[in-house]
Amino acid sequence: MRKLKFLGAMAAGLALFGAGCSFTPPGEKSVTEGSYVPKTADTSPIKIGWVGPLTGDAASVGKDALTAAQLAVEEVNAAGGINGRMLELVAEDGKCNPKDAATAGNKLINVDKVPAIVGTACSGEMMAIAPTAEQNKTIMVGYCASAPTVSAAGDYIFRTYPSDVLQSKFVAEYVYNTLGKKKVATLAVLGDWGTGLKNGFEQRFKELGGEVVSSQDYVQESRDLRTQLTKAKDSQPEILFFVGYTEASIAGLKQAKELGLNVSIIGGDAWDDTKIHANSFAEGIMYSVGAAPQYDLAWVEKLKQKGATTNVCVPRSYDNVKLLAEIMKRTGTDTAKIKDELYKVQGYQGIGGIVNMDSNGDNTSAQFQIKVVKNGKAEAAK
Amino acid sequence: MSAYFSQILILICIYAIVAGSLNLAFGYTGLVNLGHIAFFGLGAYTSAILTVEYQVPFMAAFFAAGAVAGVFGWVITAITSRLKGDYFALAALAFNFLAVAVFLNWISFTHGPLGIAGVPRPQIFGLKILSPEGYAAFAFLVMAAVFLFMRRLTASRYGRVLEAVRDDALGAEALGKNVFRLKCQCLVASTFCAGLAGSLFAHFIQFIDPYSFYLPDLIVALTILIVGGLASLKGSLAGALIIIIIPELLRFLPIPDHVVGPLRQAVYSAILIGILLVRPRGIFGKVDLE
Repeated sequence: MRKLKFLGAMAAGLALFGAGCSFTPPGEKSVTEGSYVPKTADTSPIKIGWVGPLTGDAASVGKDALTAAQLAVEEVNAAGGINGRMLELVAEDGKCNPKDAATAGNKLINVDKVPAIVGTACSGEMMAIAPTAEQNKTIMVGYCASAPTVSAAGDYIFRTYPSDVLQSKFVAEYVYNTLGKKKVATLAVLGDWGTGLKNGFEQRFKELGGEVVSSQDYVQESRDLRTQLTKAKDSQPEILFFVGYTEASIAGLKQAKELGLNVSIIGGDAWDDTKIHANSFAEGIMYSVGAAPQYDLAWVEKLKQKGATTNVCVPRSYDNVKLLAEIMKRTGTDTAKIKDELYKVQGYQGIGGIVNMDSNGDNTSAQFQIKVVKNGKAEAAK
Repeated sequence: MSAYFSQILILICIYAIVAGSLNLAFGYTGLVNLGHIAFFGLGAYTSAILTVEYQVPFMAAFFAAGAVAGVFGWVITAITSRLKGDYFALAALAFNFLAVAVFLNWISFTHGPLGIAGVPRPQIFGLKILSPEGYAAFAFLVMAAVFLFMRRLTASRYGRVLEAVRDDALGAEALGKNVFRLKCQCLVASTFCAGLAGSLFAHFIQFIDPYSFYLPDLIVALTILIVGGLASLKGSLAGALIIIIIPELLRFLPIPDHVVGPLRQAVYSAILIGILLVRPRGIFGKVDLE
């Protein structure tokens, strides 16, 4: 009976807790009533949310990206803020997993009532926050989420980092049109990046009229790809599209040579790593890579002083803060207006390159190029 | 603010069910089920796939989630019937790896690593639960029902037999109890509840991917169980309350942005260690880990 009483007490406590919380102080607008609207001539700071992995496996990526966002906020504030109102960054740890990102986003949206969130880094984080953001009309601008699923996540959901679809389309067109290969075998690491690239590639390649003779996956930790490579070889492709991270790729390329799979091999942007190029068996491989502009050296130096390096997620974390600040100078913090302005963004020049938004809130301006490994070094393909 | 607290309450309810049902197997019956999160995941995937791909009504999908998890719970006891203690724990853990591998690789069915997005909010008898407050009320009802069921089970004579299995399986068998059948029934009940929690989770976050049901979540469930105490249902409730709320409270500590992630983790760990130093058996724990 004691336990039952305890349950009852818990229920009562939680009910009280809930009742207490549903009370909204006068003057403070509840989120459910509409988007956040500031009073006129307000000089209070504007809070902007930031979500990314600050602990866990992907923490190194997230920390540097956060530093870049902070740098952007400092610069905006030093230049007078948003019409006299200072920007304030509220960072939350999304840990690169949906559950933690959901609670982090929930806090930013419902407690800090931020008009916009710069984030996220991982696609899973993005997908977990998106429903709440959409319901509360909070803007999200992803800086590193590349999975194709993010495109359809909602009206208020944007990203400046290109979708994997763009890269996979580019590779498919290069293989079919430029190289003139019609039969391809695909082999990709399981994950939102690898699977996303593979699916996009296969779809575009078939549209062009090509044939996918074998389509296989492997797990990221796998270092023995002989089974998949033998199957790929048996299907007699003209070219192998091999998507993988560094370690598995080195093993796979070596095993492909050993098995006598003597066809051209083309890979994704993770192959832009000298550790792969230095191997004799990597001679002649091709890969696509973002034709990234040379980063502004003064910017790189500023980041360095703050102890951050420029990894792949850093430039867009910085750009997104700047982009939002620029738009808010025109629109204030009305999220519906910010959303409309974001859809109109064309030719915005950021550190990570130009931003052109399409109707899905995706950046379409990503430029890619193909590189070939020759004599242990990567060079641009002709 | 109420939306924020509602969402925390939802997570508390979900994890209370996960930890409470794990307690039923682990704390009461001594089945160290390290694969518990796999059943949570099975429930989430069942419910998500049924509602997204086959437009099955929520309530049907919700109970199907429990049923599928329960069936696999029976399968796992059947195939590990000769294993005891640590060996069972390892086999159960292997089942979790297996489940994640299936979620990852059965792409045509589970969408593989891209996960399932757009899991709808529940609709119960024509009433669509859209607000976080409504969902919190629903999750609380489910949790209360699950805990009442487990409470009745463990407080009964049947519950005491389960505890006898934990303390002395041979002795229980000598008294004519069918130990295997008891373990089987207990694990089915436990995994059924975990499956329900999985369904609640999928329809709350509205996006699931294979890595949501992996070791990090197992650690959360075990932490709740151990902080709350083994063989104590109110312990699991209190544990879920503490483990979910502490990180949320820490969000409001004035910590500089550049150390916010690591420092919160450190404070969180310190609090947990503190609790276990003061109460080594957990807050309401009755039995020791051997």
